[in-house]
Amino acid sequence: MRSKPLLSLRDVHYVYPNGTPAIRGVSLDVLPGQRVALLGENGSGKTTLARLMVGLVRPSKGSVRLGDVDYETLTTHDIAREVGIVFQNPDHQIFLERVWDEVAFGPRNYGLSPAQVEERVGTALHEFDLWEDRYRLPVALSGGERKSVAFASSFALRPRVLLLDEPTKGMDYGRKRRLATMADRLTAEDRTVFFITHDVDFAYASTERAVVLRRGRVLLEGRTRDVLSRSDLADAGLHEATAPLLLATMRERGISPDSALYREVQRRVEAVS
Amino acid sequence: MSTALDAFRYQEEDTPLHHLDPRAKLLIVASLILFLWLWWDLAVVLLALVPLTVLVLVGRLGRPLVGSLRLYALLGLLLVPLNVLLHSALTFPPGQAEVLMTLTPPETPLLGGLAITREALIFSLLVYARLVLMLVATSVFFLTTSLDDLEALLLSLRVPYFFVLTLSLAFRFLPTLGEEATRIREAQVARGLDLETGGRLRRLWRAGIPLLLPLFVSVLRRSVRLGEAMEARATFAYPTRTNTVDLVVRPGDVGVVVATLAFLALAFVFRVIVGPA
Ligand SMILES: Nc1ncnc2c1ncn2[C@@H]1O[C@H](COP(=O)(O)OP(=O)(O)OP(=O)(O)O)[C@@H](O)[C@H]1O
Ligand SMILES: [Mg+2]
Repeated sequence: MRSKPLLSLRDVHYVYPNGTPAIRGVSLDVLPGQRVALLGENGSGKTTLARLMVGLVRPSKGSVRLGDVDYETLTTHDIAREVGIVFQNPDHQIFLERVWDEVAFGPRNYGLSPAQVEERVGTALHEFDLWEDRYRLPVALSGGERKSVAFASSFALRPRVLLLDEPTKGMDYGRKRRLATMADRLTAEDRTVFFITHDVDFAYASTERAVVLRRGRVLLEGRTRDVLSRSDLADAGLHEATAPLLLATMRERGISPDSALYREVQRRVEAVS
Repeated sequence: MSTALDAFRYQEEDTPLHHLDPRAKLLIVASLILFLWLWWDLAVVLLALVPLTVLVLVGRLGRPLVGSLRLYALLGLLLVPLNVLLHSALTFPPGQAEVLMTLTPPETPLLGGLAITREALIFSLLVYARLVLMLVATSVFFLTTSLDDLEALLLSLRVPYFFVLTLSLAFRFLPTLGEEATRIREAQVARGLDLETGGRLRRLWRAGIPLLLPLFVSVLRRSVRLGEAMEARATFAYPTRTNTVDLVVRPGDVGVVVATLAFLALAFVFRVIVGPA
């Protein structure tokens, strides 16, 4: 039996006040416990779609529902408790004098008890390898570290759906892996994580489902393994993921998937992506 | 966003006024303002309306100016009553002017004998009309002069490049600042900052620090980055530089300047010979 969607979008349209039609009829069910990649060329509408899902902007046409409740009846404050987002630029949210307080900002906004706040913040800081830095001044951290602070501060809210806009940009390999582990932890609790990204290899290695946008519409949607090994991805401003491309090339050249060489390449290529 | 500011922000259009040499435009607008400043009567206000209307029509500035009407109405509501009271009491007191309305009987302590006089009312309305016309003249200039033109104008007036660049960067960053503020608001709301419930004051109080601090930090960060990027591209390194817009005088510009000077001269003669209205 299919589980009930956490979020459902029905024929959602969004036109910016200046007349730009950024989203032009998107229908999407967000199922629990999934890691989803949201891909698409620059300007295809990924960030706008994310803002719609968090209720920061409301559809010009169509509907978004949280479970059975229509967004129209909810304030953004209500929605943000269930649907979190971390934007590209961490400097847009950092303002407190210690990393610890920065991460505690969200949980405190929702009136959690001090013990709960303590627990949430501790977990989040460990998750993103920030425990050592917890008393530091966040604005004085490096770019990637500030980004981690922003992730931790949304992670601490334990949203049912967490949207991350360009989370891997400027992050070293270790931090990317940590991001993937964090997503695993959330999906194990039936929460869903969206990675909005141009990093096809990261998406291939770390998500089960992929949605590709093009000019405000869903161009492709399905299992990440299937979507990201298609050869027509260039139409959407994407390239095939390296691992399947490499393996497909080997098969075409007559190297059997059972051969030792093929298996070794597969193992090694999948280990680094 | 704000309609009041829109009346002073450049709007790209293809009209003769937009293409006019910014120096000629400055001359027109400055002489109009000077004209309104020097003389204080109805004839001047009416006379100034003529070229101003022409400018607005030629530059197709009706729509943005209508947007600023609210600003002028507000200004009027604040200024006119205050002026009427002041001038009725000081400049045109009841003994020397016709009383339209008595506000307090003479025996009232401290504020006795307040009234509104005809002359004070007329005078205040005139002052207000002049102010509005000056503002409209100013916005005619800013609505039709692009930043590039403005830069070229200041450079041609021998304003040092350093100041011109600073000014133009400030102008260019204003819209970005608004965009930045929106993003910061969204990022904080997404972390549960409640800006939807409670009274206006309470929301303002809650929003203050979480919005202002990141804005401040990111403006600082941006200026440092911008400064470094500009230095890396040799800004100020050479005493002479090439400009995007170099001002060249064209026949049309000369015509406009001559017409303006003629108008000024005529107005001057008219005013001196005919006398105040
Ligand atoms: N604030 C805005 N006002 C007007 N139009 C906007 C605004 N933000 C985005 N747009 C437009 O909406 C469309 C979608 O933009 P969006 O930011 O959602 O794209 P994106 O897929 O996130 O792109 P990128 O990969 O570059 O981040 C684009 O055409 C963009 O120009
Ligand atoms: Mg984006």
